[in-house]
Amino acid sequence: MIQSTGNNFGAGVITFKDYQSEHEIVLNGSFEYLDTTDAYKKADVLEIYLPDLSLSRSAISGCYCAAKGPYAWMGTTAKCWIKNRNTLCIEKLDVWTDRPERKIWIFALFGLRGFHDLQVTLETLKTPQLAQSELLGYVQKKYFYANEHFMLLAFSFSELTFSKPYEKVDLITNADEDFPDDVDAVVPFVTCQCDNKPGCAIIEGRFKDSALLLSGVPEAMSYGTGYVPFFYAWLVRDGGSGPAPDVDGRIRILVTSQIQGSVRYTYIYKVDMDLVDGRVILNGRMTFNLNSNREAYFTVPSIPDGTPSCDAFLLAKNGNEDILSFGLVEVSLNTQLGAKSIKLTNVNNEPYFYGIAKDTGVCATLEFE
Amino acid sequence: MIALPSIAFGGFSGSAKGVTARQVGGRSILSLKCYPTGYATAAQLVRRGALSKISKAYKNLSPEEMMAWENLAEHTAGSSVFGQKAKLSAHNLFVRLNTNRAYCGEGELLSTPPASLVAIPAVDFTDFCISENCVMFIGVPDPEGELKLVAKMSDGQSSGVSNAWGKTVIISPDKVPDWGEIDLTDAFKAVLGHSPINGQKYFVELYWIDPVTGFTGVPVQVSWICQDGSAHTGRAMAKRTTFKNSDIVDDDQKFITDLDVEFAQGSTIITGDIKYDATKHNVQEGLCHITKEAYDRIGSNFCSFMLGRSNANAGYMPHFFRTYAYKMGSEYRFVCAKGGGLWDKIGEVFGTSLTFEFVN
Repeated sequence: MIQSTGNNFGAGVITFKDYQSEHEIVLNGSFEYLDTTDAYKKADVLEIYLPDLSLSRSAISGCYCAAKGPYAWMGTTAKCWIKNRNTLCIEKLDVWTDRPERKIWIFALFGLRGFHDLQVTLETLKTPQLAQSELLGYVQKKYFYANEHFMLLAFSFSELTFSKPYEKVDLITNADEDFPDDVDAVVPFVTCQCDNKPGCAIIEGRFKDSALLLSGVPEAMSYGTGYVPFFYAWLVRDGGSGPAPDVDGRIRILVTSQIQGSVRYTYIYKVDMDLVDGRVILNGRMTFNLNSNREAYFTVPSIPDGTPSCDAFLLAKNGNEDILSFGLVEVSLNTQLGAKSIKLTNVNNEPYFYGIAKDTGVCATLEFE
Repeated sequence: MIALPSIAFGGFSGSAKGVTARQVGGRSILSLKCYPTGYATAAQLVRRGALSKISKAYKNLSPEEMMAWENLAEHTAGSSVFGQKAKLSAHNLFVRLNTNRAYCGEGELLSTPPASLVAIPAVDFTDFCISENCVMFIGVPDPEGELKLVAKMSDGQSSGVSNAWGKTVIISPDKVPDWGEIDLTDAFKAVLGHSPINGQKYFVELYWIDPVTGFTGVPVQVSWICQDGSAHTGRAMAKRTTFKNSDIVDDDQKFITDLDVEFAQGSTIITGDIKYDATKHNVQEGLCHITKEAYDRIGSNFCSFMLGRSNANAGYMPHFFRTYAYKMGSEYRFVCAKGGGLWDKIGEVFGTSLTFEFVN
């Protein structure tokens, strides 16, 4: 977290959750101010003064700015950039002259320019799972990317058809194996036109525990054709998914993606397990594919000393987004005689099992045949 | 007036043909009329054009203004000759600062002198390259204030020439560092009519100028034989990885009116500032074809995500865009496709993203 040391437009202290590195910065935060202050009137560009940033300047990035109307914040996008190590600048976009209450949301990535001899490498996008129902309309675009420090989440609905104003709606119910669960932020969500003022209504949502809960949908919102409500934000992670600190009585086991030998359709994307309470309870979060074999063995790179061999059953849903079915997967951890392996067994009647498990089970001692 | 019978006799003053006679301290001084030699660049033509007007304007200053210029001139050194600093007259200082300002497009004459002398730093840089396809200085820090960089270069000289500073001409009067880079490639070609030639020696002079006061910094001089590779590292000085307006193919599918995209280190950062006018396009996207050379800078299809908005007439409707480049047959396309928001055919796209593998 960083706190502003001042600003030139009459706002109070502004707090950002931040991720900073040599080449990039992600800032998350929002703040309100009045356009009636002398400081704001004098400012050509809004400046927020901050403690030393890791970048001495940045290229243009984007944020959201809005004015408070009778139904909602009406707003649009604005340019923002880092002017020097201590100054964040925001474009002054003064198009709501009769609305003094203003708000800015910054959920932005900042980067540099000016590199020579650059080798461009490409990151990989993933697809989040969004709730899709008559209540929400239809998902048009959906993307996410996450590294250990921050994530991008962007999606849009062809039409947002909330049936009642002010209804709270859970937009994302993500069960993807890599979807971060350590982001907690109050974020802007761009909706539709409300009162013929510039921009669209921007409502706020709480993004927490891999879910986005929206509230305060404007009563007078127009749902006309062509409006495509969207969410776009770079979000700082809290770091909760990294290796857990040593906690007495807890054992954590992580396995990254593996294919079993040459069997093309038998693999795991990720296994993340906790054995707690004297190794009686096993909590697992994993995505796997057992389409070729009922049983598959995978290597575990690191297992804490003294971890016993054990066995548990976890409930798993079908990994295909559009299919609602579930089954059981048996998880067997083998540490016998220095072994470090995990066996997943499809214990369903169906021979093919592409599943996502997020469940807690009771451990049994692993019995060897 | 014509001085007769001969300007060789003392006591005469006046001009005859290209010779001027004048009396200074009881001595006769003869001087030849000067004619400019070499190239006359646009910046120099401005200076020459303004010189006479500025010189005459000094006579119209009030006594107080002249006194102020004299006071400042007393504290201002002229060119150093044999280690002894020459003093500038008030008139010379007035002409010098005002012609410098004219370089930078400041049309109004400075009738009252700057309140005090302004210290202008020397131009600093970390490396430079003079090759057949690149004249560039990098690592140039942004100057404090609104200083502009004046670049003078000679045309190619024999590699054995050690002094051709007198042959330098202004190739660019008003550069500002673009992320530490001063790229003179196009300016050199525009002024001298060709690119540098391998094996020939070039003389370069760089200094900052303050457009407000007209003061200039101490010139930094470098001479270098045109060759591949930079002066300090010897490595080819590659241009930055960008998509610019010059990369747009001028055809009937040109719906992007201003393209400024650059890639940078990080998790491969992409930054963009793009304007589109898709009035004649039936798809909700800004689109243009780019050259193969531009596409090959990345070498594969990619996509990224940025914010944007329609223009004021359309009510600043907010958008997010999927910006991407891809190869389609023999064409290379750059697209800003609407991801969300209420579409309007004219708008802008801006922001910073990571660069991702292409997805539809």
